[in-house]
Amino acid sequence: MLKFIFWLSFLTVFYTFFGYPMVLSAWRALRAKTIRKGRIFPSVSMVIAVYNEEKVIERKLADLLRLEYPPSLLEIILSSDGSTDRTEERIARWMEKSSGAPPVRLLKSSAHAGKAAALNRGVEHARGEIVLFSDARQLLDSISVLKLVSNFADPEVGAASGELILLERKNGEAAVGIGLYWRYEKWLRKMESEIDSTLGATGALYAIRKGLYEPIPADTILDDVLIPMRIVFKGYRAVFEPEARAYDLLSSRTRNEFVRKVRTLAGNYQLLWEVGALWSPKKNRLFFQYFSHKVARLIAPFMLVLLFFCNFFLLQGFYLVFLILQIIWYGLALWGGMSHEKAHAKAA
Amino acid sequence: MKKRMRKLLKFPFTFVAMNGAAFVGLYSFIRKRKDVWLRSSEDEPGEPTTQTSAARSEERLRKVA
Repeated sequence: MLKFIFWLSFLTVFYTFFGYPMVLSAWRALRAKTIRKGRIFPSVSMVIAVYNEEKVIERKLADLLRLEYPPSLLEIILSSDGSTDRTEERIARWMEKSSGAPPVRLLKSSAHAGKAAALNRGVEHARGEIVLFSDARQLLDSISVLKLVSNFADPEVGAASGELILLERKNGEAAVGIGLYWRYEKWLRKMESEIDSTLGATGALYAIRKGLYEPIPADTILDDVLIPMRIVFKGYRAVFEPEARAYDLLSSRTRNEFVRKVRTLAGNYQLLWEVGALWSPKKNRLFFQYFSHKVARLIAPFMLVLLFFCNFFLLQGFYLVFLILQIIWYGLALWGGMSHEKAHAKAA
Repeated sequence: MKKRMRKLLKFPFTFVAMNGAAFVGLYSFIRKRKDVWLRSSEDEPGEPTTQTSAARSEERLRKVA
């Protein structure tokens, strides 16, 4: 029985981090789908949900002026989720000073109802054929809108996700590990897109056909997964566009990335709990990918714990060597954590 | 050497931390903690300082900031 649990845990962990990427690589080699991109210029509404972004909002607006897209075909909608700082004041001041091309609209809300509610409000007021979502914090490559909308020349494409590039900060001790982890994630997304669709988008930059949008529940944590997945359920593709780039800085500490990860994983639990279609291979044609990528990531940590503890009851030959390797691995992790904290305290 | 060692130790640490997040994520979900704005406000904005392949963006970030 213990051996069965050991091997079940081992194979689950192995499949999650190595097996699934191998399956994707082979699948892509055999049946990659092309995207019929084209140089098109649909009208675009950029919706940015904001909440207490006074430190970055003017930088974001200035950055949007640099976008290489006809201003007459672009509108910017800033949907404030009841900001309590000077975000709205700064946007209003900026609007007074700006030339009005592209037009900027501020949607205020007295209630702090959540990001999803702010997005719903923003899309409701959008006039463009394509709705592009972005966050206040990240800056965009000037050609990002152009590159993103080129995917919509393909009638099968319903959503397109840009790529978030994380840049290093000075003394960014977290950069090495997190950077690798992030690159690994993007590699998976790219392969999934080439096969059919990505399992969500990057919240920093993604676009959808406006006609496919359905308001999302106000308490949604992962809007950037739910919105594209709903579009996939309708039979469209959600693709990844690596040339549409948004830029952000890597968190200086692993702790910050940990908090982001907690939020993402809590969001995944929420989606599995609330979106019944994800569990149906009939409605969700990405069922295999979703369970191999998203659900396996929720299961693997529990399997790692199981693998570690049941290994203590298996102490012969191979199992003993494996236990020693596990102890070394977790010992190094602990050491890494302690030296990271020490280095950060020293820098502070 | 010490710095390089610390960088190497980041791999097991990050792997364990990112997997550990699943337990806290489950706890957050059960407790119905929904910090939807966390992503955009938990880190102070700043400028990138090291070499990356995205040199062009780096320059733009500096100009805009």
